[in-house]
Amino acid sequence: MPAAALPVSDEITDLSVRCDILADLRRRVASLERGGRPIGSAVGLGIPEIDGYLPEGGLAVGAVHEFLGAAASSLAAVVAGRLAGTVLWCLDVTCREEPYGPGLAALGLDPSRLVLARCRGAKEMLWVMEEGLRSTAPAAVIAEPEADIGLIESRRLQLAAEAGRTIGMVLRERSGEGCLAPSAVASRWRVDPEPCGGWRLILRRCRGTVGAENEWKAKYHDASGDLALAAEAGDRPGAASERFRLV
Amino acid sequence: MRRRNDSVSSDRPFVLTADCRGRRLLTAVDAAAEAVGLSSGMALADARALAPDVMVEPDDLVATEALLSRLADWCGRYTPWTAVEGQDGVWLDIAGCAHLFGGEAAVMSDLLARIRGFGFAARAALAPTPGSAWACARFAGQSVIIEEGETRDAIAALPIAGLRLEPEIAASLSRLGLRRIGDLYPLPRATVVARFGDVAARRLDEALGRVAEPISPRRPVAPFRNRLAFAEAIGHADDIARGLERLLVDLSADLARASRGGRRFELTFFRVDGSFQEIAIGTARATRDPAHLACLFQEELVTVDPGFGIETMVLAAAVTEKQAPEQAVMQGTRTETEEGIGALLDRLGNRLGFGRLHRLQAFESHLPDRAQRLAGDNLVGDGASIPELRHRPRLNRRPIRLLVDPEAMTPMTPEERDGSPPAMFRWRGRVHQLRRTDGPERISPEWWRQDRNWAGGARDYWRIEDAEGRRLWLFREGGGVEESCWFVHGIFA
Repeated sequence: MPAAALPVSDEITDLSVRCDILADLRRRVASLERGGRPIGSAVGLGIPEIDGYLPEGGLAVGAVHEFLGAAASSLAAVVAGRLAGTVLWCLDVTCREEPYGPGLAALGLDPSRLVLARCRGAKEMLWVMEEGLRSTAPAAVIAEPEADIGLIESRRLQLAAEAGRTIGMVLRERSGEGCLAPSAVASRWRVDPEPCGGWRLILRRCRGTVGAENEWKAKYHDASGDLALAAEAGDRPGAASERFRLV
Repeated sequence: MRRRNDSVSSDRPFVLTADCRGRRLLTAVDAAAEAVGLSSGMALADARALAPDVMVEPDDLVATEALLSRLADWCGRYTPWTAVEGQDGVWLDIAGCAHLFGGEAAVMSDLLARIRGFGFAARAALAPTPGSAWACARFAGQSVIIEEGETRDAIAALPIAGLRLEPEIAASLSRLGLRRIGDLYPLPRATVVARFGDVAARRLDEALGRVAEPISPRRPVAPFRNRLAFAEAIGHADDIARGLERLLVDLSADLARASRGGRRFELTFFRVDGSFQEIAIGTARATRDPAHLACLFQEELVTVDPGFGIETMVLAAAVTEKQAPEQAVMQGTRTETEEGIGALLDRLGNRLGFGRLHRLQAFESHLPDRAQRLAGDNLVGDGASIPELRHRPRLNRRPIRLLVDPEAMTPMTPEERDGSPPAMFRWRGRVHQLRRTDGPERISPEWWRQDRNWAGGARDYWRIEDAEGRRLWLFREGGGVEESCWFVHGIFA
């Protein structure tokens, strides 16, 4: 399958040559795993510590990611805000908690980029997601399904995302800590609000990393519009959020 | 056109009756009944005396009207401009359409042959004015075509009732010996008006084309419309798709010539048995791209039932908008993103319904529930360029999710003196313990508007954080009043 003839390992003595070959092989394997997408199509969170940990330097574009926890939509808004183009947000018709423009704008997502699609039932939402992901038009597709997305469905979505090179984000705000159904998503995060206005990001698993679980505490700085790791020591209630006052 | 039921045996007289001032009168008679001397307007008792074996059915006006409406719609295969006339007629304006069928005579014979094929007895008249056509169709005794300029002579010999007059006026004209339309010609117009009223003179003017008579079509007439008739009825899905393709290409060329694009397209299938089916698609923005439209129609096409075969397809752009001519682009240079979002939204909209797609739009209002609007038009947005956020609001001033209906929460601690939120409260079945608060931010309703949601008066908004770090947006309604109530209106994190 590899077109270029590889030198036999015995002949590789020069360390630098060996490193080059290894890097090349890694790239090829990674490219095969991603269905032939070039490396580097990823959107970073803007936090070097997290982006550096992720194999592609950010959340892979052309893949589906799953965000669990109460602050899932905040992270999705931040990620979508770092891309350009229309964002398709799939809600259930029964959803009474609408994405709110002024709040999203504060996270860097221009609300006029948002198109809400109200879907009746899980099946229709999957169809809308798949259409959106397969199309190259939207920058991101965000969906809040009422129930878990099964393994086969998540595989379909993943393939659609790869075909359209669109990033998909599945929000499961209500999901608890319990066992989750197996899924073909590229990464799974848990995002919970932290006291003093930060978020705790837990990377549950991510394709291409080993020993997946990792945890960060991040805060969003509205002045600069950037996420940054919350200083561990600076977690003093008063200092971290001057507008809040302790009860 | 006279409606007769062909399914009953034709040699027995058949009549329809309706109750009129306590008597049962005939409203319609068939050919056999006419032969034995029955006519509409006769009392049923007299009719039975003349023809003891007469078959009687009650006249169902509602069904008649529905049938006529369907027939008028069916006539849409000849011209988009059709209307129902009274209880027994259909108007067709075939100006500019006749050449499609090989001339006016061909239209008329085709129309009559088909309507007779459905089992109706029908007469038609083609004339330069609606009034003269009405008179000829009913009183000429046969189907006629009146050329431009011959109207005056053609209707002169017809009975005065051909002028669509009230029975009383027609009767009083007859009493004076004015039995034919031509009898009115020599009379001065002023005399006619003075003696028989304005209506008689106006009807005559209308019939002769001296004044225009506007008639509204039954359905709005789409200015962009294309029609495809098949020499032999088709039924195969591939043939239908190919027919649609041809129609779309033609329509797209018409639209391009007028620099317009369609927002709604209607496709009507006329089957050989006289029934028809209509399917429609909408688009998120004006378009005339045949390939894209064919793709949108694809999903609807499976619902089409060809029945015994489809003989005519009519495609109309029911709603159109101005659309600039396409820029000449080199093959392959057009980026997919430009084309894509409209196409995607069209696909979603036709499946979900466009009412379920919205683009968020900022609105100038200090009321939180009015600060954003869900726009159903302008779905595609202002184009690819994303305007820079003019001012980035401070984080945490506004939640990222707003509850459409604020939800009441149950305080579990006594009311605070300073009006701050309760230290412990229950919401959505969970107890929240207050950790931090920020507020109040007083928001007053807009006094110049009546707003049901703001009937409770000014609200004090608080941002709170509970022990688990969950941040909520609360408000207290009825500031200053002893028994105030608390609501959750938004979620931050």
